[in-house]
Amino acid sequence: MQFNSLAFAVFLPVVFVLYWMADRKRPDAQNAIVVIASYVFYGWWDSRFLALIVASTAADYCVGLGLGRASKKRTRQLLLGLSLACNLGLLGFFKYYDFFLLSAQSALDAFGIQYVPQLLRVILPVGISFYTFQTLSYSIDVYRKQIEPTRDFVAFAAYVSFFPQLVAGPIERAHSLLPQFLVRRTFDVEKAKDGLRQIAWGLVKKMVVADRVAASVDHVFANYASLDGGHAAIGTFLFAVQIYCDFSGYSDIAIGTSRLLGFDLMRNFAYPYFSRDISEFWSRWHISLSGWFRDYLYIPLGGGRAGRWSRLRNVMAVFLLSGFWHGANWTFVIWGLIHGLAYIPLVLLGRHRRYKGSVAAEGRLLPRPAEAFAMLRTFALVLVAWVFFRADSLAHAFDFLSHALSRPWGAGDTGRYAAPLLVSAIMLTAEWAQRAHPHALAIAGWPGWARRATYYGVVLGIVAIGNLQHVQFIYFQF
Amino acid sequence: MSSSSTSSSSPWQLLVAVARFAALPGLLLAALVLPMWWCGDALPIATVVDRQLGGEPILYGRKYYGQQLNVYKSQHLRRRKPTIAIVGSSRVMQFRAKMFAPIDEETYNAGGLLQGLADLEALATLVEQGNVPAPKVWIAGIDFWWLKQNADDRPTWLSAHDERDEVMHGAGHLLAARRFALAGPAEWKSAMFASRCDGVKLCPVGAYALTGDGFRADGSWRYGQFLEEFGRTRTYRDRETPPIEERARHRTRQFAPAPGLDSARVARLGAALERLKARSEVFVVLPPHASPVAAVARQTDGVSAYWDEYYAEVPEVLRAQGFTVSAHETAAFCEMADEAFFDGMHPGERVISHVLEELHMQAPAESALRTVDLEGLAMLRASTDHPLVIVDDEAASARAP
Repeated sequence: MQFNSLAFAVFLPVVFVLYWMADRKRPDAQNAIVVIASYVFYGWWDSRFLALIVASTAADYCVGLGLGRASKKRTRQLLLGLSLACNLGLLGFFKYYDFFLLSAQSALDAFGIQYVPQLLRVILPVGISFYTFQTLSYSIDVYRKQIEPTRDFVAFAAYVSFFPQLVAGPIERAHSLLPQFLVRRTFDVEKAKDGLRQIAWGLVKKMVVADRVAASVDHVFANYASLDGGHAAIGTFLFAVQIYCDFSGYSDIAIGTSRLLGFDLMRNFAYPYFSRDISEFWSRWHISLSGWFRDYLYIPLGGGRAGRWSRLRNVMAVFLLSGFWHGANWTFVIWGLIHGLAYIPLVLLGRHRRYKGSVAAEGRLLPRPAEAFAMLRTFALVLVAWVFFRADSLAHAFDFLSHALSRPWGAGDTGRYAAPLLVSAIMLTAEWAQRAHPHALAIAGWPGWARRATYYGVVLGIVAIGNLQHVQFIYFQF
Repeated sequence: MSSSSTSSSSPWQLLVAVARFAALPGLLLAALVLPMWWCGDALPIATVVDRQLGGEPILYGRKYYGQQLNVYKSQHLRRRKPTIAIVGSSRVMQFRAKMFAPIDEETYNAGGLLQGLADLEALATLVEQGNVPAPKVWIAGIDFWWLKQNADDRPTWLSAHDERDEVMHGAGHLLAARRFALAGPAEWKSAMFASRCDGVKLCPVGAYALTGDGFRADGSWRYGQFLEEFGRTRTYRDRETPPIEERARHRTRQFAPAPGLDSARVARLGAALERLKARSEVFVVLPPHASPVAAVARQTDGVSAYWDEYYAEVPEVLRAQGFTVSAHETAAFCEMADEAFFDGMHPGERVISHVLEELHMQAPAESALRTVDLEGLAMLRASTDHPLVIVDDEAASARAP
């Protein structure tokens, strides 16, 4: 079931009513509704893969209980290893099996050895990259004794399968989300209203911006060989807009939906394209994933306390694996590599926390020239990396960049991009104006008439120019 | 949504606030959908098919909701289980059931179902799966641009196997409401004041049908607007936008330059037709063009080579595979002038009746097509001097068996 579908528009109010009708003094009653709703939500795509989520849930629930009872370090390590094996095994099998075989084939082919792999061509279950990381978070947090294992299977199942963030995040931490399932939830009307506003903004980004620019992006990346450099540049910019609006739009809807049910999810995007360097970008882009890798990979490897070379190794490991997490293709690894190589100088110079806790042009309307330059420079680097993310193969990416940089600009008619560029500009302007707020429609403090006009404007925008043929979210393929 | 409510407000108050907010857009949506419902545009396809099969003289043409020809024609094929079925693009939509008397009631024109080679292959798959019943005879219309080396093979509605009626889901209503809102006051008025069917005259269902254009119960298409114009002028006009002749001259759209015939596609065409032939007789039609279009195509660089190759090779390849083929560049084969064409590439009923006659005469003696009464067909042609239509719409109403 997709957020931008009629089915969800009916599903959500029904779940909302049933959820708040349940005995609010008993969180288990509400949790049961969440579990049932989540399984219906996920099963809407393909009910065959429900068994995987149930299996993953059961395995980590048992591992958690085992970790709670086990006192010996060896036993605890074995149990954690079991959880890692189950979750990463699932992920590896469904996502990377064919990729490794094909990569081996290419490598052997380079040595003149013919190898024809038996590919499985397994369908990738939607959301597997997200929920496996979420359940791993529980096992690791229990292992580290950051949280107590829960005996409440329904609450745990609700935590694993929580439908707003099940298929595309934010990837929540057990110590952050699970406790919310174990306590009473009270209805907070202001939180719920802001949740609705955030959902609306997410739908605008997805249906009005991302889906509208998609056709232009597809056109440029399919036909770049016959287009000039200007087209390639615009196409790359529009892809940056598309992937941001698609993914952050989903996160906004997920977070907003959760707030309707009384839950607080972590923020996943904080206006990353206004970043002044790559380290700030990574503190604002897919925050839940970078945080996961930081806490469960970077820090256990030694993190910032390791020696210089170990630290650099740890940084590159995080970026490479982060790229690899996105998909079974070397293009994603190169995407991660580019970001890692850009990040390392900041680490070496000790400037990777320079912009922590601040926003660009804080308290001002426009950035200072130096800030603007820093933002543009960072954005340019991000754009180059996005080419690899979008390309079908490394050859495609290099060829695209070569054309973009070598062909003359301004030779062709770029009028077809006027509408996508306009909606992109409007979206970026709105987010710039609201960059101190969690989302662009955080307008609770506005006068009533202005809020109502904005709400009707948003609805009109979605209905009048939004893509109403529901197009799948990009991150579902990860 | 006021910010003055306290945090302890109940969820139901939020629902009430949302419902109040949604009332205005809801009313606006209803105001847009109601006229579309009134004129029949919002009528579910299944209901239209029911009524046409029940004998109502309905002329069906949606304008604001998607036409969804795959849904409409597929439902007719499944419900009717015709003995003779015509498939192809719009260029075969002038086969009228009455031409196939005495088995007119067992004949259905599913023209519009196929937009390319991928659709033909999808149809073969649906037939093999039993999803679409196999008739005794398929008459398959093939269009010349299907076999180019750079032909578009993207899935269309048929090959994507999507049979959800737009009317049955909310996004369809929003899309249609948007199109209707942008259509302008003249269209709104036409939809709001559409006359109801009286069960006697050809009854328009759908905003497009209000203009006189639409699908008859036998699946053929009525060019009401052009027939009205033709009645006044009695001259040929390439009424497409842009005209077909211009497309050929400027090498655009169907006439985009192609290096040549794609032998792989020709092989795919043959294979798809063979799959249909496994269960039915298959006759192939390469519909003719108006003479100006053929003349320009033969002379234009980048088009002529493909055009000549297509007409020289494709019919022979298909005949070698045992198919009966009607392949003519123009209507010269039946001595018809360009007035017999609705536009540069859509022949009228009179030309199509000659194509049917040709197929009949080439068909094996035991073929179901041989039951067509050629004398009756000739009398139909003789009953009027109209170059475009030979079957009287008011009298024609294909009833279900």
